[in-house]
Amino acid sequence: MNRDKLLPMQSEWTPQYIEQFTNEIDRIATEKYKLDVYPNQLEIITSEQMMDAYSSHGMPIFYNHWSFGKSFITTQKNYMSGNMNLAYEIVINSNPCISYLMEDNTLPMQALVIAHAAYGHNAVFKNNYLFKARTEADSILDFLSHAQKFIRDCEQKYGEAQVEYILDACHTLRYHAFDHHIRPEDLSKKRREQRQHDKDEADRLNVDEFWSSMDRLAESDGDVGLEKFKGFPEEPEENILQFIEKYSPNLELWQKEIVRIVRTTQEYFYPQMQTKVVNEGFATFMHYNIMHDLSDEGLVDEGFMLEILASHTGVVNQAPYYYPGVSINPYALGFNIFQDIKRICTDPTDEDRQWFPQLIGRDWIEVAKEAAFEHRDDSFIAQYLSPKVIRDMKLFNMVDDSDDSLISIPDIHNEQGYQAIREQLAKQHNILNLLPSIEVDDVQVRGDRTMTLAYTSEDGTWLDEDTATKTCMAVSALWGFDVVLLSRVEKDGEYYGSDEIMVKYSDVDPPF
Amino acid sequence: MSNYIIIDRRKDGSGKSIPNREKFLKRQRRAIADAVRKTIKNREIKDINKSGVKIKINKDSIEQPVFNKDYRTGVRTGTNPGNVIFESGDEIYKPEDGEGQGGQGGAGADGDGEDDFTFTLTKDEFIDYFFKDLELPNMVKSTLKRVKDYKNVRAGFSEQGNPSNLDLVRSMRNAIGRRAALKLPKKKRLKAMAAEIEELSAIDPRTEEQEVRLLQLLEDYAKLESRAKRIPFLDDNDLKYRVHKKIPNPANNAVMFCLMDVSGSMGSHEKDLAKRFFFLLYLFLECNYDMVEMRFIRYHHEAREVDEETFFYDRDSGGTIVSSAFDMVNDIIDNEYPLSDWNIYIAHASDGDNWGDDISVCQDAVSKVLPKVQYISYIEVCNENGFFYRGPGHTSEVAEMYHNLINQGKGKYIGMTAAAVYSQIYEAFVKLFKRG
Repeated sequence: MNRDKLLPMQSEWTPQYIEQFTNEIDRIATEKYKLDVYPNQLEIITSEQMMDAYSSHGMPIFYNHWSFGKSFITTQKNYMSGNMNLAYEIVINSNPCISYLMEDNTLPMQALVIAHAAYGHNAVFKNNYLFKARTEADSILDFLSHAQKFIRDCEQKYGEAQVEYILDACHTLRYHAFDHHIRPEDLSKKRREQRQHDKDEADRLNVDEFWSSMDRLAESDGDVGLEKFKGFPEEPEENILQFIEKYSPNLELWQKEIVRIVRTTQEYFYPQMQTKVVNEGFATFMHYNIMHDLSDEGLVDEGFMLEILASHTGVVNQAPYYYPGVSINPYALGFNIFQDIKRICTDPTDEDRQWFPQLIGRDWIEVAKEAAFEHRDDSFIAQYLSPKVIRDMKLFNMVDDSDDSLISIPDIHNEQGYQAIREQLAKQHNILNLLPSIEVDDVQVRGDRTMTLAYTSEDGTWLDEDTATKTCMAVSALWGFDVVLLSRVEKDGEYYGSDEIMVKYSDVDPPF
Repeated sequence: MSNYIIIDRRKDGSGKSIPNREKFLKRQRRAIADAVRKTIKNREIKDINKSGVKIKINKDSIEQPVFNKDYRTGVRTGTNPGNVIFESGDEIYKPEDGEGQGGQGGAGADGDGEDDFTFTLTKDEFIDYFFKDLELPNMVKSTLKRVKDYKNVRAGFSEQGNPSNLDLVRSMRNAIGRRAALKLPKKKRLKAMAAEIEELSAIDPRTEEQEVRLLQLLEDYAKLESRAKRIPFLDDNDLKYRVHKKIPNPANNAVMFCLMDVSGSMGSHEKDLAKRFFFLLYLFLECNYDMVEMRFIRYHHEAREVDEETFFYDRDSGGTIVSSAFDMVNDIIDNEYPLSDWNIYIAHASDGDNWGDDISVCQDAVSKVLPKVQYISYIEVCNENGFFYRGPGHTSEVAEMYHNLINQGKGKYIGMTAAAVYSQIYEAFVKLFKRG
């Protein structure tokens, strides 16, 4: 090994050493892997600052809320008791892309963070279709800055309790603030319209007009109106928070702005929820390859690689199902799939030729990028999970029917089971399957303005009644009128079994 | 090559989470107040002080609910890792808790998974909550939270400072030295040169020698004059300022004697009031002294020194002879606490009752102790119904005894108050601070 070529092989970092490493990593990332990334902003922070970041979704600026205080306390506890060690987890989808380097990290770890976050994650943020469609990296930080200021001003003007009341209610609907079923083309059109709507102050005042016209319709048309009127909303609306923002007869302008803030931040986080495996997998895959490239070029020594590999191994470790609280590790799954893509492209077996004919002989870097940028978790798994990875991870399917006293294992890692396992694993990474499907079904515009929400289940799973009632109270608080929640199972286009929860607006606690 | 920058944010400090943590604590006010109350009941007074207090809150009040599927219903399918024993088609019994094995990353998973949420209040936060209960005025709160006393001592000199701290002598001395080092020409010399120049100039005609001399003088004079202009008489660098440093006052030690009547008439409510009172006094002393010792003395018809646990919780009964307690205090002070080294406080809690014949004896005992102590704080506690043992309007024997002493002019060292509820305990402290 030509020791003259070596980058600084120290444990302690200095800004100069970091620069030297970044230059090399950058060269490899942009020249060998042709990664297109946002300009990087590497920020050196203390561990206390890291805890601050952890507690508010990792963002450098955010509005204040007690839930972040609770999260901070939990993080602090975990850190103090030695449970936390994810040094390379905070990177922001923004332009420039901000990555945090903890001051306690050794130099090798800083290099790892940079390769992983500032190049791996950064590339996904900039190129993945979901991020491109749903987030605006150029303006998010400005938006959050506006949000923080606006909410603080509201606290001054209207009182902390009032603001907390609205924020709490909005937070309970944080997973029902998306348009899932919308094509990317329609989405950008819709966002343009939304942006126009937002800018149009007068537009909001039209809500009052809307309700007045509804009242007029109710009074004047009588029976004639009944035929023409298709019900409101005409189609069920899955973005409950947006519906409330647009149509609530009860909210003041400033409250609607708060709803918009929560909705917009949730929309911003949505792609990250849908691409955990893709994002972490690609970033891990990148850091693994780039570090090896540094070693191959003689820029780092064995001691350096030892530390890197030790950390890497910890991160991609997958504990088996019988460990308490175990779930599929997105780092492990993602990394394994990407490594496998490389193998299939460069050194395929007969099984690979059968399962992935379209990948054979292709450039593995191109395929990896394609996989990372054109997919989200469920499509990524459905397309690229191979029998080999299924075997390596010993994946199996398990069915737990609540009416049954036994759990059954229909599929294991063999010829008969691969397809079913791949389908199920993809399915459970689709956020639509994890979140209960609840939509605004109807609003009594001609009557007492009761909102009816409908929960539809395909597999007979009902909602937890306690949390559902509490959440309906939040909806009622925002809506200003009674709320009814229907629960039903859908089978072959028919609805069966309807449970009902009713929340009266008069029962909702006002802010004190 | 893409561009990047490295920013060192460490000096920005952390604290973004402080408003969030405050909001969280505010929201839990009631829950925390309850927890604080329980903590005081169950913990030793000394323990409460160290590195904060652990508080447990029930999780329900701090969750943000969302719509959740109830996985005890319906059919749940999942892909799990690490299969080493199952074959396709196997069936297994469900584990006891009825939930399926393995898991899927669930959206909306908040929290620890335990039933209670625990966190630690710092000592200051704990004092805040404790006092909210007692409704102490802010002045008292800030006094109790105050760190040690500091005093200013001289600590050398510095180049910077307040004009009022300018040390003239040193500064001038420095100026002289600088001028000398830079060879500032002395005024005298310049004057002499100027005089000679004038003299020579007046001579007409001049000899060659004189001409040379004059030219030389003129040149030298010009040089010196310009140098003199360049070198200031007094320069910023000459100035020296006196520096003062704050050092903590070498704190003395304090000992607090806790005296409590444990006759049958003191119930758990009365004892609880007393405990809070003792605790507040202890905090006050803790903030002002390096070391505070506590001695616990219970008395009924005789006095006994005990540890804190026994002091508050042991059941006892009997008649009441107060003097026995003060005699014991006297002895302990004489034997163990030389007055030159110790500041002595006495906190006395009772329901006021005393054995009739003992009053004058007691008065004597207290009088003996008085000159040795900084302060005696007496608190008379009564039961929940608000009646003193003897009924309203009747001064208790003990109270009467203290009154007598106060009438004798010893009022400066005695504070008396009565409390039936927690919020009245602060009066004792107002009195304590009014004095000094």
